[in-house]
Amino acid sequence: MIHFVLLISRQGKVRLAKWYTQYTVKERTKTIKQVTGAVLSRGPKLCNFLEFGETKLIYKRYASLYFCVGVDQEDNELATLETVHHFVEILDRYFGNVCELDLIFNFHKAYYILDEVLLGGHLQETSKRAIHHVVTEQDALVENAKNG
Amino acid sequence: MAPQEDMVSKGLRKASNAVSKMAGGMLDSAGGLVADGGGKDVFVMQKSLRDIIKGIRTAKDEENAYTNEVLYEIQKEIRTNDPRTKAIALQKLTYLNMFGHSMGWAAFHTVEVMSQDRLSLKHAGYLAAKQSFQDSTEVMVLIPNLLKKDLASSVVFEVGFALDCLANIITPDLARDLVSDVFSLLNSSRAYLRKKAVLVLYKAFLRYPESLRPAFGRLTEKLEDDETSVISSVVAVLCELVIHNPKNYLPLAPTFYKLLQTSTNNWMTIKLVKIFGHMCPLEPRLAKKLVEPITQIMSTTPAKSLLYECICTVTNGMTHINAVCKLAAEKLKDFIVEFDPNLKFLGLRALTKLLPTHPKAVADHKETIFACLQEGDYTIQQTALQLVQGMVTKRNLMDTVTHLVLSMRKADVLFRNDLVASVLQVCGGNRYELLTDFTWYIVVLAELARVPGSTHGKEVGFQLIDITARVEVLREEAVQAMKPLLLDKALLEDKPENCSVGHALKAAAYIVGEYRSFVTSRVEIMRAMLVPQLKNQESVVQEHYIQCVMKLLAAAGTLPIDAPSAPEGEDQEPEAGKSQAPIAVFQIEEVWQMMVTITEQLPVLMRSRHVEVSERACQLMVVVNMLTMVAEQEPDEPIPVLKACMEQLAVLFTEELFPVSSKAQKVPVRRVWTYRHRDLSDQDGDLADDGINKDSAATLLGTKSKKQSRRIEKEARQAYTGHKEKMKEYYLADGPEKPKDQLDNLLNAAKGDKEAIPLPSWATTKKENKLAKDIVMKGDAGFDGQVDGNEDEDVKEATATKDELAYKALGGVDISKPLEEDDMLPTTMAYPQYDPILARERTFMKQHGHHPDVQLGQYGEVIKDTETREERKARHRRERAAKAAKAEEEAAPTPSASGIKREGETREERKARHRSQREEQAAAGLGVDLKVLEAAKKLMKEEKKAKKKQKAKEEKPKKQKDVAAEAEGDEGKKPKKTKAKKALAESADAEPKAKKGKPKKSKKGPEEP
Repeated sequence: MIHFVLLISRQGKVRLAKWYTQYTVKERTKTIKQVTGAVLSRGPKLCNFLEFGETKLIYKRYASLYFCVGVDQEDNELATLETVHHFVEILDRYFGNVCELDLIFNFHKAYYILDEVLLGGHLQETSKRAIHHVVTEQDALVENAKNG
Repeated sequence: MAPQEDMVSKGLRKASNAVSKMAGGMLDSAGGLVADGGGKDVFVMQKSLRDIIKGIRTAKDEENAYTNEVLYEIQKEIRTNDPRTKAIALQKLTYLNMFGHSMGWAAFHTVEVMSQDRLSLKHAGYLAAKQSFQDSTEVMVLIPNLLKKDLASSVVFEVGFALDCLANIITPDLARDLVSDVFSLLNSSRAYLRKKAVLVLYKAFLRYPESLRPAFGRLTEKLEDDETSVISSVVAVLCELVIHNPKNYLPLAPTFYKLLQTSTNNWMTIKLVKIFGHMCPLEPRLAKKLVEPITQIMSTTPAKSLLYECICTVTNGMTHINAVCKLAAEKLKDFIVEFDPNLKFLGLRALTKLLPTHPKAVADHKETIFACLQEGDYTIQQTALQLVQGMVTKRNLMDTVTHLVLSMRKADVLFRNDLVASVLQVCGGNRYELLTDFTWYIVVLAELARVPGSTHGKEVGFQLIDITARVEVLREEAVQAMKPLLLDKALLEDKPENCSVGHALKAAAYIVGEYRSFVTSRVEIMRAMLVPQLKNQESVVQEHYIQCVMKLLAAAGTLPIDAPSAPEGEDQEPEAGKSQAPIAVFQIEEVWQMMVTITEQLPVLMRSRHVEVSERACQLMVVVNMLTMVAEQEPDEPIPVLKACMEQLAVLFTEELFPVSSKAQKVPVRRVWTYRHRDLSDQDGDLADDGINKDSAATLLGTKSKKQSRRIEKEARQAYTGHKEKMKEYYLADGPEKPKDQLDNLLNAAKGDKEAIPLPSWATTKKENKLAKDIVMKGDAGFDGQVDGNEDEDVKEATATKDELAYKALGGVDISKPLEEDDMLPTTMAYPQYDPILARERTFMKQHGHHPDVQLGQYGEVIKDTETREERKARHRRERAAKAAKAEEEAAPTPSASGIKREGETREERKARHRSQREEQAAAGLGVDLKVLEAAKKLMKEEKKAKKKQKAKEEKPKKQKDVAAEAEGDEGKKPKKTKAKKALAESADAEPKAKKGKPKKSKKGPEEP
């Protein structure tokens, strides 16, 4: 099970933070700090898995963004990496060549897409098409509501 | 994966001017919202989300100020009645929350926005709730109804929002209130909601476990759902449940098995395989069933994640099936040789798991694993190292260690330390279990000591001493290996690389000092050791160095055993007559050189602020000064004097470490010592306990040759008999003339009866001193007292009346009292022929023909232990009466006879004898406190003076009456006086000893065998 998903820029700024288990505000700040410290200092050709307290930290860098995921010890690291990639692909499809700025200015959309990919720390939909469909459908509804 | 990644990356690298194009949806219209609905609102100029994001990005240095300003605005905006303004403010706040700004204060406003009908507003509210609500949030009580309403909504997305939100913020209360609503959603016609409901149910189970039982049946039914995504969700939930408690879900195994065979979705297959991985250890039959599908998946799947999951399952619960394990090991090799560090790491880790059951399969990939040690990635290196450590056997130990040592050169500091630790652990683990060649290991240790930046110097030092002390044949090599360490001044520099080398150097110094006979270039080593850089090291290192220098100095002058010529090439000054034997050659040059070196370099250490260092340095300096003085006193012929002094000095360090037997190694040595100490302290008082720190190890007592160990055995047996007597507190059977031998016996007894466990020599020295003291007290000729048990009695009988006070002064021992049950007076057996004075006296008596057999009876070994006091008294009385009667009969001849008997003994002599007898008694009073004894003596003297006066008065008339007795004095009177016992007792003051002595002699005579 995934405990948290963090998107961190190369400058150490949080672009997205999603917590699937109970973290108090203090713990959240602390974890973000630790993850940032651990991930940003690592060289490019190193292994993407880190021991992180009771959890495993799995991270992957896409362009200027680090996607960091904290998972249970039993979890499959490779599968987690694939989950991250799955999420990135969906973002890419939705924004059409996604970049960091897209996520900054549309942070709520990023959250919404993430909620469609993961729920309660589990992958809920493996079909990129299905997710894209749902997200666009919802966009349309919101647009209607706004105008109407 | 790779091509897609590239594409994504390219996309992410897009120029920032694309932003305006990209922004869409609600945000875009945020400003518009206000413009639309807020014509009359205060917040016409409300900043949109885009504005504040841009503002923060442009503010740069004043970001905090800008954020505070925005937060202030948000606080105002969020209180407005206009829902849109409120929603936008909340959204901005959510954004700022990502950077750590609290939004707990806006919880109520969040609920307000959540309850809006408009989907766009509701969305913003739910997002804020998901991000900010915690268990402790107070407004939680307000939302169950809201969520209930939304869960029952006809708009799919509203239900979706509610489910998402619930999954994030669920509390036990919320779970209890809403689980039925979520449960009913399992029947929804939309797969979108069914899969979400399934996952939310799991969250509800976690927070409200009572809900699991009723919902479980319906949940498992969903495994046969039409939609893959729903099945996948159910499998994910069940997987989590299985991980927590696999036993409860074993009945579901057939269903999972069916799914595994039909599944086409890799994500789900991974979960299924994981489920089986947890179930297999519990159900062995399952493993057999799984062999076929798992093998098939492993050999066909292109997905590494699935393959890895299968391997994990194999290592978890299918290790008893060889075919699958072999396949797994093969696949793992592909992982390790892979360029991708992730796969490498996972491969190594899986191999570690496989190692305990299939070491051979793992060992096949040894080369690849060794190659991983040189990876740049610390995680991989560590895992590989772990694996290497696990693979070590007796046979490949040297090979492996060589690999590890070679890897150290390329590794960075962190991993280098790990490598050092692993070598020490592998070789030294379990008492050098795997090690076969210790000579080789000493060289390795010397190498490890030099590893820059190593933090394991302490362990290296410990093992060095441990091995050198235990493996006797190794010492020469050890000294040779240690020499370069001591000669290398760079190791003493104050550099971070040398952080722990001091502890290894300390061990090296100890080894060189202790086994100095193997050192070939003592002066060179000493010069290298006494350098100013030594100050950089810890005080304990300096102490060891000084001690080593002292030992080297003690060895100076004699040639090293295997160095036929002086290595320094100095002039040998062989002494006349000794030049033939190379070992005996005394090299005065070497001594001079050493002394010069010490005098030059030591003052720095003498001024050290560490007391121990300065003290040891001063000690050494004093020794050197003394040697110099000795040499100066004989300016013409300094060699013989100096040589004698050096020999004395060498005696200080002659004792060596004693190698402990292999059996003893199983026992923690320290513990044995403690035990041993306690044993000894019974006898020898307070021997402080000291563990095996290096210092005590440095002074271990050692007798080491085989010859000696044989002797020890013999002596131990001897000592055993002695030990019994020792327990009687008076244990000195062999007489005072050989205290050293006895001591040896004792010491060796200590060694002998316990598998030759070495005793710290300080302990033995202490013991030695103590024993020697005891011996002096008991057996010293200077102390003129030795008392027999029965003598006590007699003395008391005769002197009780007057001398009582004196005896009371003897440490409260009242001899006149009958003995208690556990009281023990010394038996004469314990002191056979003990007192030299007694012996002298006896010979004296014999020479003068004074009833030799009777004397024997008085001073001999035989005592009447069995005789009670009353009996003895009665006997004495009887005998005295008999004697008196006899004397009366032979009245005429007796005086002359007695006169003859005592002819040679003058009055002064007799007095001396009496005094000595009394003192013996006092000594036997068992206090054996000399002071008390002294006091007693004084008292007696005074008494005697008094008696003398009295006697002088009495003697005059007596002399006139008894002419025959005139010559002899006291003796002559006896026959007359013995007529009446009372009279005798009354007049006894004058000559108590003589009277007492006589009857005793006569009574003892017949008892002699």
